[in-house]
Amino acid sequence: MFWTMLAKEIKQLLRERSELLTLLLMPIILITILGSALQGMMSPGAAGAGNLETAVVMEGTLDESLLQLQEHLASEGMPPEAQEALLEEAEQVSVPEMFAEMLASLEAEGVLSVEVLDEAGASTEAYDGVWYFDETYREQTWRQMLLQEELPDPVAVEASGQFGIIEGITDAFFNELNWQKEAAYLASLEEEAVPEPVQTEVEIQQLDNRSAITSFDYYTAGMAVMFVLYTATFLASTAHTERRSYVFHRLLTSNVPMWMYLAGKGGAGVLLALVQLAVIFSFSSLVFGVSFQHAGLTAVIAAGLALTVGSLAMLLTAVNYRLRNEQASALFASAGITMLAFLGGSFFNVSQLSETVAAIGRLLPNGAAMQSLLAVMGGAGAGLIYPMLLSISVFCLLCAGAALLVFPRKEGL
Amino acid sequence: MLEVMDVTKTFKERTAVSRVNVFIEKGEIVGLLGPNGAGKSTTISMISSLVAPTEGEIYAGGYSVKKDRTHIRRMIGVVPQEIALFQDLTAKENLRFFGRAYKLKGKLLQERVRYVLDIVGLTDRAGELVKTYSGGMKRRLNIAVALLHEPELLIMDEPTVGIDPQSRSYILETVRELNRTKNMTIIYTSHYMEEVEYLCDRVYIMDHGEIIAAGTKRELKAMLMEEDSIVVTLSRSAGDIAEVLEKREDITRVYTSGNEAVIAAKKDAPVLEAVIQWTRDAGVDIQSVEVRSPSLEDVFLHLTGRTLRE
Ligand SMILES: Nc1ncnc2c1ncn2[C@@H]1O[C@H](COP(=O)(O)OP(=O)(O)OP(=O)(O)O)[C@@H](O)[C@H]1O
Ligand SMILES: [Mg+2]
Repeated sequence: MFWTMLAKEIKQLLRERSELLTLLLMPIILITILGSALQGMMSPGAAGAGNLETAVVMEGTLDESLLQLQEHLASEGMPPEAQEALLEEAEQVSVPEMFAEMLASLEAEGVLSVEVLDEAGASTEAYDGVWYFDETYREQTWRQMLLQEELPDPVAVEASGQFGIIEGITDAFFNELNWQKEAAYLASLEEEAVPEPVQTEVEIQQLDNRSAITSFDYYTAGMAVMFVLYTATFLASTAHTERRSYVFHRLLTSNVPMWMYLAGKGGAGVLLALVQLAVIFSFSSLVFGVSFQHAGLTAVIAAGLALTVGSLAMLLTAVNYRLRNEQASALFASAGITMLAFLGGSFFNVSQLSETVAAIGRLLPNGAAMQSLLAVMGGAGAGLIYPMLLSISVFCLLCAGAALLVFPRKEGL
Repeated sequence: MLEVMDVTKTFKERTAVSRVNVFIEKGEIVGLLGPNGAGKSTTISMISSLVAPTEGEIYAGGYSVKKDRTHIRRMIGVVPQEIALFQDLTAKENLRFFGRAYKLKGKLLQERVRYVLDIVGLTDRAGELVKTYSGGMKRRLNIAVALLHEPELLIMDEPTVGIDPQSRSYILETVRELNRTKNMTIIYTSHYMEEVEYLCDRVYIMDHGEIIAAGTKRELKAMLMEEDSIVVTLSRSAGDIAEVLEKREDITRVYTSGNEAVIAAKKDAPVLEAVIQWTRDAGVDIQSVEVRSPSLEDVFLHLTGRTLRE
């Protein structure tokens, strides 16, 4: 009977065009839209934030660089008062120092941890991301920005680890810097020359074998863990229809035990979710080149998600039966899933908003699964999925237990 | 075959069924008649072990509904009042699904599906989605599902609600045929008198949760042996005819509905004169007059003062 029920759910789903649209087409469309729109714009702390270890390597000190600048100004024959003023300004806008300052404030927010090193050649193996500023960097950027000298762009070297967070931070910083320069220019229009944007060429190097997360990776994970939940609400809503149309009563009079009915819903949830994930993942992989790095781990995560969907389908079915309407599953579909997706980081990384909220999100099965997927996409090892397994096991047990408690025994079906 | 003994069902405050007794022998077709809300469906739910009686006992084939649910469920087939089918599966898929629920498999399942499709005359349309079916076809499939496991007792809860006359007579013939050829015991619930009158040997009449009369058709009508029913159709609303006529000794009851007045009068009483007198006074024309022997409808009218579909 179990398999008969599974087969029935699948047949029904295949004939429900609007449901198919929600379950398969919507996530694919959203991955395409969000992935393309936010391509290369992954903001700081886009994912996996919190335990990123970074380092800034600055060759030479600020004072040394100021001295060099002064020598340069003197050789250009600038009067001493003007030199004084310019040096003061230069001290304020030293790019490596500003960059380190920004990292320090990110550290204060708990996004990452940063160490400032003063010597190249320091071991960088231990970090998820490292930025190098060589000893000529300060002077070169000053001459570009303050003297409008035409110089080749200074080069900042960025070694990037996982999650695309490193590029994100670099982009955000230099965009901000240019924006400030332009704003300053607009505020003082008597200056003639348009300030030169700081063109920093960023060279990206791969750090060990971990790879960067693209926006397509991010939203494949985000949308998959979100839309898979709609399978549970679909099943709960067909369950409601089955009660209303007395199909369920018919099953009871044919001696199908009640638990079998619930189990059928759960099993269908697991199966449909697996199929759904397989479709979404295959699509992203084929069209956007999303790489899951480790097939086995991806399968484990998918299985965990599928179990989540199965137990959720059971719980929602049971609640619908208990309340004798489908408000519970409808509410979950309209508000609950969006909320879970938001907390879990399906739309953007909530740790930008609040670290507490993000921590809650990581406890949710969808959030946990998403983090694990991103970790696997970033090339992390099996260790990263243990928290997810724990979170999902607890969630499934709670749901299934609650479903059995809530499902009406016999009276008043 | 079936014994329903002093069964009562109370939902919170409302008593839906009150001290009902029903006894049915193997091979009988028994009608359960009553207006909306009489408690027919609730009684059936208790017999089919879906709802537990608040009080009383039910036995079917010697099994107690309380203790041997499994056996009882295997024995009976229930045609629910609602279309209990998957609308987005085909007839065949529905039958296969429910057949498997009855633990039928393989060849046997195929055979049974083919057989019940044939009985309800849906073989040609078996591959179509149920939601594309007409009301009558859905009703027929609703019956077919209940026949899959060859039940000894078939309980039909208003199997002909809202369908065309053709499907209705098809269903009535099917029921008769099942009873005749398979000696299937059948409980037939309806608020259509004619159907019950046509099909059933014995009839239980329910109202407000109680059995208000039971017996063979002949026995029930015997209650009205001393009466004639005179149906008068007038050219306009029958108005106060009841008030006037009920004053007479030889008229037991007058029931009016629109242009029609049903007058229950002592056998051979000279009531027509009185009717004609009334129409003259009221300035109404008589369009037709019919004197008929009492029907079950009249029995119900006699017992409750209301018609069944009121
Ligand atoms: N689950 C329930 N909870 C509360 N009241 C109920 C329930 N089921 C039935 N009733 C009430 O019991 C009474 C009998 O209902 P029932 O469905 O048995 O009538 P019925 O004779 O089948 O009527 P119909 O011809 O309309 O189908 C009604 O007043 C109904 O409102
Ligand atoms: Mg009913």
